[in-house]
Amino acid sequence: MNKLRSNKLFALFVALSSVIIIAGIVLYAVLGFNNAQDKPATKYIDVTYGAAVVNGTVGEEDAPAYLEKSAEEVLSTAGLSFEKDHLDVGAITSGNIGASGQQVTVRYSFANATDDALEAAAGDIAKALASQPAFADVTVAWHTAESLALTKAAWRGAIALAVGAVVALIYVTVRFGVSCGVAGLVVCCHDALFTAAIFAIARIPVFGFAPLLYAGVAAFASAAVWTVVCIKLRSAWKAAGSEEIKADALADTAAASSWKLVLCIAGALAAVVLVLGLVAAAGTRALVLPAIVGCLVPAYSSLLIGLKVFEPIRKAFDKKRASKKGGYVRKKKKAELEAEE
Amino acid sequence: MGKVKSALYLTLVTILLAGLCLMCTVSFNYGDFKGFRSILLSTEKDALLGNGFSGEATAGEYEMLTDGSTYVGGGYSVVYYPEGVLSQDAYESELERRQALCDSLTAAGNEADGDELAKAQKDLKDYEENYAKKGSLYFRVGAYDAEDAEKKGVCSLGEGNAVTFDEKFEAAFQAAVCQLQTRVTELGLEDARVEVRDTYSVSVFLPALMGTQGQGNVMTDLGTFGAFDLKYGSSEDSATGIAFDADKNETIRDYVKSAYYVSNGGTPSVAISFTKAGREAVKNWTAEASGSTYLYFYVGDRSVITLTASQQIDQSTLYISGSYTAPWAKSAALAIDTALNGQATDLAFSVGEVYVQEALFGGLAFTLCCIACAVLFVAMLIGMFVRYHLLGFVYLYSLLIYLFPMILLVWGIPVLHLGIETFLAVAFGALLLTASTAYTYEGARKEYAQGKTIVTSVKGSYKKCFWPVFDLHIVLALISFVTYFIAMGELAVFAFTMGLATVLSGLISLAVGRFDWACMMSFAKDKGKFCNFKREELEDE
Repeated sequence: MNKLRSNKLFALFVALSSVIIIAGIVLYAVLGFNNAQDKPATKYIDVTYGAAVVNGTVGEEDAPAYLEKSAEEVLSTAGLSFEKDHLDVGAITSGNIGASGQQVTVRYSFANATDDALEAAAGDIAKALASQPAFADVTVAWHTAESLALTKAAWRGAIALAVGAVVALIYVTVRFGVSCGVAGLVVCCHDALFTAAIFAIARIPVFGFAPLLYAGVAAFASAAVWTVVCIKLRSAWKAAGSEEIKADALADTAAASSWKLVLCIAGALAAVVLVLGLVAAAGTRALVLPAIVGCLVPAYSSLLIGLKVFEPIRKAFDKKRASKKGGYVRKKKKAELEAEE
Repeated sequence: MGKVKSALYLTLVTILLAGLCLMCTVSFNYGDFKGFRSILLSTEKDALLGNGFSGEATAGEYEMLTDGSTYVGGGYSVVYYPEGVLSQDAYESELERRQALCDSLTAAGNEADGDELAKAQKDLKDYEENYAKKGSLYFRVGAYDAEDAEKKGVCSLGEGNAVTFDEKFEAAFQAAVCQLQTRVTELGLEDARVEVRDTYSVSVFLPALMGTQGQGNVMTDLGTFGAFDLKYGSSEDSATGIAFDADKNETIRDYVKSAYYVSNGGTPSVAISFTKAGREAVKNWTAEASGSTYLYFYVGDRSVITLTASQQIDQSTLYISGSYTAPWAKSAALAIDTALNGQATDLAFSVGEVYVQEALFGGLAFTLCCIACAVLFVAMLIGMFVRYHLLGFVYLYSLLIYLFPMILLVWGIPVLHLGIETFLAVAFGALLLTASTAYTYEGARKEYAQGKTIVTSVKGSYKKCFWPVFDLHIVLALISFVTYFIAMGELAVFAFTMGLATVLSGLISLAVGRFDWACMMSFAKDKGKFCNFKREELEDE
């Protein structure tokens, strides 16, 4: 583990992180995240039918099933691939929204279709349905939709994570010292930014709110992992007893004793996400699986960056403490000399 | 602890856990009419994970639910059309109505109806000529700023009936969309969505989490645009507004400062803040109020709030409550405040299609999330049983003591609900509990291996592990709760659930787990074997 913590490699890791974070920020500013899961621009055909169809039959088949089959045949003929949803048509009565279940809209959504193709397909569906008297009241309409970003949650979330990390690391500072607190803050911010940057760069299709949630997961995992590293640092310092132990030696000992544990924690978090993602439904999978990034990043940063950041801060504090101690000794000696005289 | 006391304690805990398990996870019927819904099923769910009984319920199974609902989660979607824009359905329905009127008058063939028939035919022709189709929408042809309201339109027709939109209409529409976006954002509801549909209509999706009452009012308030006005009178028709001083260029903002949502002891209210002049005006108006006069808070042509004035009102901030739900009070306050302080728009919107949507991730999403969590818990249990043999039972109790209170907390705390982020936080909490428990068990294993008795090993391990476990939990709890208080939406729910999970995990791993260990171990003859702990083998020199 300590081979990976050489100064040369540390410079490489810092450069790598910096490049990824800066590139992520630039790409986010220019392109934003890839919110494809939110379907920011969609087109769809709505086929709406009422009670006559809901309760009716065509031949021996239920009318809704026959209707959907007819519509889907038209779409297949037109070469349009689609996703299907069922929506209950409701109404506002006495300030409440209610649906009777007697009017239904079947929504066919298209990822790639031109307006002309959609208009033609909607017309063809209407024609195909018009041949059946049971479908006299069915309406067919095509629509385009463009979603608008609601950004307040994003910036509030970013501030929340930053403040949360600062408060949590104040506790770390009180318990483990300023060097641990400052290094922890660096690690925590790094992890949240690094995770968000990966999503901006890799263009992984996510839901609009999701990158922030993943950054949150990364910040939480980072705080947990860094606390474990701090515990190990303290153990190493305690084990040294009254002997003076240098910051780099302390970091080496902590890294050697904690890397397996840190990897286990990151691995366990990733496993939790993986199981949730693999067992869950398609939409859930798309939301949960990318959180693995946020679980794994803290292992990299805590061991390879955090401990290296810790070293100079700790050295500076050791030096300061030593000079204070020296000053006290000198003063004491001076006082003793004066007393002797 | 003695065997009898341990047995008593374990029996009580087992009964309690069995009861909680039943309440939390099992739905059943008893008698002919009553159905019991498990807490897991009746917990609020977000729009992505909605779940219910509608599809699967057998006849008469869940009709007796007190709130009459059969589905939790999902959401509502509403389409708003600006004045002068019609949906295909609305246009065709009106056209059919006019055509039917002409047909019926023609069929009657009565000479006395001749004028009426001519008028109906002219109306039909005008209607056809006054609307132009583009995409799936119909637009009224005419100038947007026409003085005659009947001639007011949104577009003009060029060569080949090409539709050109009025720039003033486009600007008003953009301003209205911005206001709508602000209102929806400020509502702070998870999974809310605003879409511009067919370029000149807007669709808003809000989760069913906003409550089972007043959702229609929320949607109507969101789509209410226009200038704000304050009126007083005995009815809407006879109510009069404030007489502004023309010399001072007064506007309504010289009388009303702002409107905002406030929760007074849990009661959702709308607070209206008046200026000194506004307070004076309301005071004078209501000097002889007797309960049959009202204060009307208008946005555009619609009174968003109607307040009965039963006595003189002399307050700088008026708190209005009633049958409001929190989102309803918020939407009313936002409609007034954005009309007062936002970008001005006089474009009126009407509510068009209303849709009720079930789980956006599909009907199985919730069940699969539960299964995924169950798989995780079973995997952790197997790991602990393999490593620690019968000590795994102590962990099993710890896990159950963590799990059921978590379900109850998510069900009982109003800000929480079941969503993907909740499942994620509960799973992370369980992992934290497992890691902390394993850490203390490993500590005891090491102590025992060195030759100490099991009691001393457990004691020593908990003493050594207390601060590391405490530190880990306190750091996570701090970051969680601080994040919750500032963030909104999914992150806030994740953070709060994570905070609760961390607190529970800490309590269980440091206190309850140790007690359970002592109780369960009191029955074991070979305590080392019970825990699968072994002594270190010493080599003879």
